[in-house]
Amino acid sequence: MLCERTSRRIDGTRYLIHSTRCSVLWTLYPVLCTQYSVRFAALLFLLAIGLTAHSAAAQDLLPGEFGDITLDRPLVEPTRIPTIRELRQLAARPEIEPVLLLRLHGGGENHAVPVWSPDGRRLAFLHSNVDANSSKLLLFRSLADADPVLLTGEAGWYDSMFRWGVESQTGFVFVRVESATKHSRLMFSADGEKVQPLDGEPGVYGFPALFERTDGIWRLLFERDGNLLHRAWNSSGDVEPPLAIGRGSAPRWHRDGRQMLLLRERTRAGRLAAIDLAIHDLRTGAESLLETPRAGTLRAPVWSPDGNLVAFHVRDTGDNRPWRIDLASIDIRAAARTIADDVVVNPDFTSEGPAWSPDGRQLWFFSNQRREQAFYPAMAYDLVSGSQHVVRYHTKLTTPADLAMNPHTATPEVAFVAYGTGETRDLYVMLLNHF
Amino acid sequence: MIDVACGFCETQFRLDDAWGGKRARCPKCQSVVSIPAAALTTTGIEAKQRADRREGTRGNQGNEGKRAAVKSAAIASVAPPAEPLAPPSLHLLESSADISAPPVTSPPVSSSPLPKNWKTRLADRRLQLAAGGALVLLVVVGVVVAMNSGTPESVPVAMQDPSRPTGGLDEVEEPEANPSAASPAAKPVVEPVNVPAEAAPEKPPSEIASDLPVTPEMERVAVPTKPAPRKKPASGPQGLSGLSSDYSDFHCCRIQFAHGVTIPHAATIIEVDGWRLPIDDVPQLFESPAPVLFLPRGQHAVRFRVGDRPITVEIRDDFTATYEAARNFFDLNGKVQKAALIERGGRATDVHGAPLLLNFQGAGYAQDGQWSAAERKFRRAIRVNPTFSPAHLNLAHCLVELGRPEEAAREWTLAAAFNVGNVFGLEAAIHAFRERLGDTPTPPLPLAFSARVYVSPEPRSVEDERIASILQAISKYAVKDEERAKLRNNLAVHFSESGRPQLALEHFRGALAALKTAGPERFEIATKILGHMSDTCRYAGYEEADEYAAMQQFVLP
Repeated sequence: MLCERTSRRIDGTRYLIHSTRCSVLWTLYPVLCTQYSVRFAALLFLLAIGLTAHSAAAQDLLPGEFGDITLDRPLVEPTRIPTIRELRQLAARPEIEPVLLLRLHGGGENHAVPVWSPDGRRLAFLHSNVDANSSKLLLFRSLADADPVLLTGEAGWYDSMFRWGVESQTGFVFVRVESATKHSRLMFSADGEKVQPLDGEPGVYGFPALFERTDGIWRLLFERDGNLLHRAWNSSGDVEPPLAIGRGSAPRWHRDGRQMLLLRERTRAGRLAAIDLAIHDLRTGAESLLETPRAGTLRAPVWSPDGNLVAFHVRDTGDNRPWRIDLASIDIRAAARTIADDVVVNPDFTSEGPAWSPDGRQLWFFSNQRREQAFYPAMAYDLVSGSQHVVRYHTKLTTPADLAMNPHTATPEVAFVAYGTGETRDLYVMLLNHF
Repeated sequence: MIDVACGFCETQFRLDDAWGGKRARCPKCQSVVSIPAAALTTTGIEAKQRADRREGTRGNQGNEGKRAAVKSAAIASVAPPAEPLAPPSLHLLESSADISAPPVTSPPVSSSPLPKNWKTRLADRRLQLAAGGALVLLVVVGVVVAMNSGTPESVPVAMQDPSRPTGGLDEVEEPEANPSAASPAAKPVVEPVNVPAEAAPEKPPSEIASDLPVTPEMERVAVPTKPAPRKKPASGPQGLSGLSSDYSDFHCCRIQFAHGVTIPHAATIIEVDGWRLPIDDVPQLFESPAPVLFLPRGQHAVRFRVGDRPITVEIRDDFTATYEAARNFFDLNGKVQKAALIERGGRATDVHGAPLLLNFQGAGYAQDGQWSAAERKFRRAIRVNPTFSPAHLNLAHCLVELGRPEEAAREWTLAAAFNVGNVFGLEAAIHAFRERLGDTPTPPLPLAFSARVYVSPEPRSVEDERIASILQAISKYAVKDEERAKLRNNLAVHFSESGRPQLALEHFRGALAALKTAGPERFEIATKILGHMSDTCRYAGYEEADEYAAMQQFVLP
């Protein structure tokens, strides 16, 4: 009896398993059978319609609005262009938030120091190739170009210290150094296309600053062997003899084409004692020193858009001291003040300084103080209110540097370099909803 | 004895002849088995098989054969079983009513097992299904892509209630907001001009093809209509397929640059032959697409910045004569040739690089007493080139008609300021207008110039400025001009949807400008944008609605 019962139980289990398997198979059988393919196709079609409707609803376009617009560039965040309704919401938010983050250029090599043109429609930046022992300048002659133009492909040359011409629609200048011999020379372009070397005495050139006048005369400030010099020429040749301005560095033209900002070295007993920040009038030769910290290293002073303030990087003497941003007024009675501590500064390229907003109300930078591991949010210091805004963006971008603000825009348009998904620093542009 | 095999599980049975012709249920798989008649004995089976082989058929044909075997007779040529199965193992079915099992073609859902070759069947059917499913997916994807391509042409741009005021321009001329209110007497009738294709050089150049849309259509009451089917103009001897290229926008741009000097963006002053123009905020002039300062014939020393040297500019021709010829061409002293102006505007997709045509269009509206429309045209002309004195003076006349003498005073002052050396020949007209204004105070010099005034007087909120800035910034990065145009169109839609038609039109024109260098898609997109502009004007009660509808005719590859 027991064997019979056991046998019956085993048979029952097998039967149950078999029944279950058959149930599943018979359930799928109508779908898998050819003569039911019409039903299956209908299901697919309905699914596609549902997805389409969902997609259209997700974009929520206004009548007449185009959707699915593509820039033909990799978008980091979000992955599509915001709609008008979404932009309306973003524009109304009180906090400064990213609207669009895109990767402008990258892949293969490290990039650095993006520099906006004065009209905000062109962008120059560096890429370095350690193996080839060179750094090259890349140029977006138009931001609509799919790829930038390589100014020159010659190996064994370092191109750096790129500057757009002040008040110029096309001109630019930069320094070229032969890596083998360390010979350097200044390179100039008037039309933005053809690049030619500027004749000059042999020496170590640096920090060129170009200004274009409305009468066709070009003015150039530059450093050679630690001395500041000035040249002026037009299509016919030099219009003035070269002018020596004294020992100094990092000159910057004022928009009036007369005044310049520069770092003036102060020596004592033939040795460098201090570095001062000075404003020099080219026409009169008058010079005034701005109030700056008595000790420390200054670099990359930048005029405010209205020309009344100067921002610069400074750090105290000593090893591994953090960089900060100080603000000085052209009113020499006003003292300089620190507006940001422990900011990110590119140690390899010293030509670019703090980033001003176009209205001169804010200074933008990356701060070491607010970083979260390798992610550094962008910071904006408001000169009027004294408040700091923290702008967070896609956290996959790490170790950013060289923040540059478009000087001709009503909403923030920030170019910077950072590590993304690859192993090199790529060039990114981030658009924000407001200042 | 009858030998029978179950068609599904192939279990063999040997039954008594009394079972012949009946149906029973297999005890193993519960399938219904038809028991053949007693005549079909083993011997009979073998004979039948030999006959089948002769006919080329097989007694056992796989799946289909097994099914047939169930229906007719399950016959297996097998050796007799060692011992016959007991009849009770095969459950006899008394009648068809006892067959509770579903037909063989629809196997039972419950515990009946699949046939042994179900895997093969399944594999075959999966293959067939995969092929059919792939085809269906292709069709579905094609439908999805078609549904998502662009926006429906028939959907108009949404607007608020057109009875709401649109920003003040039409407040005074309420009747003009509704074109149907125009009196029949004032309604112009413009007749097409039929002229031979080749005209003698001394005759006024008026080569307008006869197959242009009949111009009275453009004067009808503005009701939403679909644009007439486009037809290509007949080919002709020159330029624009049989249409005159004289005074096209390109021609007007050449005239402009031949008679003036471009104001550089770094300019802070404008000084001609030692005389400084009384204009403040000169950099504002550079916000315009074509800031060209017209100069009279001769050599001039022009300076643009304090401290900079003057540059020498030589003008070879007298602009007054050139301008007068253009006026005669479009018959400004008689009846303005609106059709010719609209056609040229259409060829330029309403993106003008010179102010002449817009100024003449405004004169056409002014001639008909449509002062608001005329004002918009003159402002657009100034927007293109703010130094064009005729547009300033014409705008001044409009503003007087609209009851705004203070603004008119400002415009005639600007007209006088830019009429350097009486280059436009307007000295007498400006003087006459000054007398017409009477006691209206003249604004103090230097005059502050604002480009924004000539774009639109409509209010802009902080959010509007942000949205405009963001979209214009994004559009800079579009590699394709078509995508850039779409972004500018969307910006225009934002203003149109929120009741700012003039700002919308400004940005629609920005979209059209982006399409100038776009690929083959530009024609379709331009047609859509012109449709949006027409709808925007229609909702706002602007007379230009029919213009934009007509311009779609000229957007041709």
